Amino acid sequence: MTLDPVAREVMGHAFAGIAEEMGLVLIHSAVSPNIRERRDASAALFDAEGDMIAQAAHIPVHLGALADAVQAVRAERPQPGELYILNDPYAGGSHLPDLTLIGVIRTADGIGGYSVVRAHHSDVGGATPGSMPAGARELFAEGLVLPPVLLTPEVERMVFANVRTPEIRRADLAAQRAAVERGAEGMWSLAARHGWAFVREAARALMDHAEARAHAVLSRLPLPSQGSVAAVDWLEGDGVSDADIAIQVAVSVKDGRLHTDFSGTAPAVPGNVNCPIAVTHAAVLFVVQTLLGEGVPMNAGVARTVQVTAPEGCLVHARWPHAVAAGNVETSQRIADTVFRALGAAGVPVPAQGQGTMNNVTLGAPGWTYYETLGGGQGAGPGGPGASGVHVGMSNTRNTPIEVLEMECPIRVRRYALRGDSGGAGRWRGGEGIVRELELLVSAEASILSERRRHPPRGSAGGGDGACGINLKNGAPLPAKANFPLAAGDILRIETPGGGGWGVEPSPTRSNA
Amino acid sequence: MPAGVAAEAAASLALSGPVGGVVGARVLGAVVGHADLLTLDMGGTSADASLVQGGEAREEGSTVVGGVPLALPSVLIETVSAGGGSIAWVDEAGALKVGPRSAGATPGPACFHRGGTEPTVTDACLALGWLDPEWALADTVHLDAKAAERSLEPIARALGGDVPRAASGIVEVATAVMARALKRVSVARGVDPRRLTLVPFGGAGPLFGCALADQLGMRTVLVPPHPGVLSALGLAAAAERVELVAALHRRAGAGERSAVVAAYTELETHAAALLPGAATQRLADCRFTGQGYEITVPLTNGEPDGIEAAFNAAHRARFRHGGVDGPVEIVNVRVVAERPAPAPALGRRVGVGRPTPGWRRMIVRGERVRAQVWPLGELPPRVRITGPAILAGPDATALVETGWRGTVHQSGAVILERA
Repeated sequence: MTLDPVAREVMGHAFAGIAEEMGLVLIHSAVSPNIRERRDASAALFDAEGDMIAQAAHIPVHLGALADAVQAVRAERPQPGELYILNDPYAGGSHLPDLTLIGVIRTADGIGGYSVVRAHHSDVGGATPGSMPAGARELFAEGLVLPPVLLTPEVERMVFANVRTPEIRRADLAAQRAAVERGAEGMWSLAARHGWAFVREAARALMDHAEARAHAVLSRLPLPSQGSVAAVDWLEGDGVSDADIAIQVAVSVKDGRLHTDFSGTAPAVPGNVNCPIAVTHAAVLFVVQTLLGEGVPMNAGVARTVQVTAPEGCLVHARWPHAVAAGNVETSQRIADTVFRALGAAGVPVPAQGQGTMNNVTLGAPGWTYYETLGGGQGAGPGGPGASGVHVGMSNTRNTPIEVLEMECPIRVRRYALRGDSGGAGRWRGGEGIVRELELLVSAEASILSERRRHPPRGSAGGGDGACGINLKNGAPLPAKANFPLAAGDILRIETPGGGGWGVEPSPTRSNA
Repeated sequence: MPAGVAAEAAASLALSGPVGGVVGARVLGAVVGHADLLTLDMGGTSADASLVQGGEAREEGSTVVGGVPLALPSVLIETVSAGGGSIAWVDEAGALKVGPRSAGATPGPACFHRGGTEPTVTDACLALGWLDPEWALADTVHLDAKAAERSLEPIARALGGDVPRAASGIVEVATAVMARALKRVSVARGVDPRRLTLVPFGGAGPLFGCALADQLGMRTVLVPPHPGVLSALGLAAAAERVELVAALHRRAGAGERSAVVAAYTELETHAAALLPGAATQRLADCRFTGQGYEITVPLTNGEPDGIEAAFNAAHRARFRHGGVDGPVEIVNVRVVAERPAPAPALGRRVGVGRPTPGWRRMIVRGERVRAQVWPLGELPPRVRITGPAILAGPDATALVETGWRGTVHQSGAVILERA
């Protein structure tokens, strides 16, 4: 059976629509601000072989990574109608707060596919409230580890017994489960209309189509046919040591596939900036997606055009039980930046670097936890300036509105503004970072995971660099990654990095006189 | 809303155009006796889907207009970029796409002869024979069938077929895009579309009614007598309505009864001053403590005691889980005051005598058929129509697909049902 282009497109909309509906069900009934306001969550449909059919595009870092979750469940020989949960970064997860529910879609005679919803829960236990401890040295300090297991009432009870805010987790998990069910129902109704054979065939056709599109785009990149283009960039310490950590990549295109080889990257580190290979995959896939442009469906077909090689045991292919909380949020950004840098060196028109960090702030005390990431400057491109105060790269979340934050947590927001003059100069200016000042109304534990505090986001084509970010407690500087106590009345001020500028600034330059 | 009130609450008039259509559909539904509707307004550049339940348009807490968040209750509308002017194209791997680019009204579809050359949904409809080049659209736009075919030729070549096949493909993809919006306002919100009536309107909407109903498993399509001007008619025919909201933020049912009643009484006094003689209804926006979206529930007999139970039932119906099973809070109290308009002005033109159908050849779902052609909006009641048929009006055209049957209602609307 071959599908004509019209039927394929029609089915593409049908699958994408189901994924969207799953996302709506999740955010409309979840209770934690991180899921319902910031939408730190993703929903996707997979076929029976575990290949992704469609995804509601929320968070780039979840993009390719969900496929590993489904493969981990398939290794458990799942039965139709079962519901699995996992967060183990070494068995399909990303970092521990991302709880992934995987529903096995039942058909009359077997498995029709998988309905998957990943959401970042703002506490899964571990050493610090919010489960994003800077400088954790082992996975076990970062929270409860869930390998792929059936989500039974007993497992739920065990999860709730290991987290700081069990009632909120219970409600968020219920919302997540409802979203998974919506996915299964959507697939059933498609199958009722067209039959499972046609649904399967359409899914394969969509993947082949996306693969063909990706091949065409990648083959046109001005990369050398022999050899590769290399780039290196650095992480600013792992929360244990302050020393720079190198990420190195060699990029080439062969047979229409993008090969990225991370040989030369630093070994995994004691702190938690390590990445499981799934996260590295997702970061490379994100870069490919930005190259593809409009109308290419994001599915397993695109993933087939990406090859990631990374020596086992290195920073971007860490082995159990290395700590990984910041790998998903910070290292993933730098991996994408490094691949972009290599492409830029080969002559691909890539924008200047954006803020390159998610500025993770986690606060909590008994009874409440709060997690947010902060926007910053986007890099300018050949066509225009960078946007200000937005999430760039691997993060695609919204901000938490001040009203919501102040209602939910004992925090007062003293200042939330764009950070003037932080974007890099150039023909087109980089976007501005932001300033966010939080006053604690009670004492709490705080954790910051951030980057670009000493290596600025680079300008491109002669543009200036963006300003580095700054973390301050009561006016005194804090390191890029830190765990520290805050007392009532203490003020935490984060200034996020600006984006790099693009092109030489036309003279006369801005006058300081 | 009285003009004085409108002047003081201008923001509450935002999106009143699209909402007018929903109101029009609601009024028409009431006349015909259908209270649960999915509406689809298909214009030149986009299609808006909305939901009416129990005769009330579904509202949600906030919306965004031109990038500005508006924290006012507003009618739920999901928009997709599929309109009559949406441009069809073939990507480099051979997939047929419709939109998001649109030719709008200027330069417009190629067949408008206003400078547009790119193929649009309207060009496809014309090439399939659904629109009649002998009759000007809205009495002013003459349609050029040759120009439509010329614009579709590159698509046909890229897909390796002829022009009719390309045109069929374009309307099929446009249907899929619109079905997504309809599902977002129904299935994604816990509402089963199969029990609802589809009201397609706007100039092009009724051409897609049967196909969309098929996609969503719906059995009934209600074609307004004048689909192209339903928004305007809706605004004229809508009941005078004032909706007042006060933030309260209390636990539901926790000994707060007197405070809740007092809040309602104050809103009702205010509503009576704005709209004397109106009937009022009490509603409450509720959520489980911690949630970020509210569900609005009506108070049984105006009594606050049942709020918690009503919310629990509504939450379960919508999300099929009981949330935290924890405390329910009332976020806002809400009073709706309504004074019916004198008579629904649906604007039917009664034709002279009993019309007989004309005939035209066209292509429906890839099949060449001979279809009846009836004058929409001028049909006497109880005329029966068997698909394939075209209902051609001055402001819009409807397609009754093969396998569908229609009956003309007293109001001039045509009720289509699967045969």
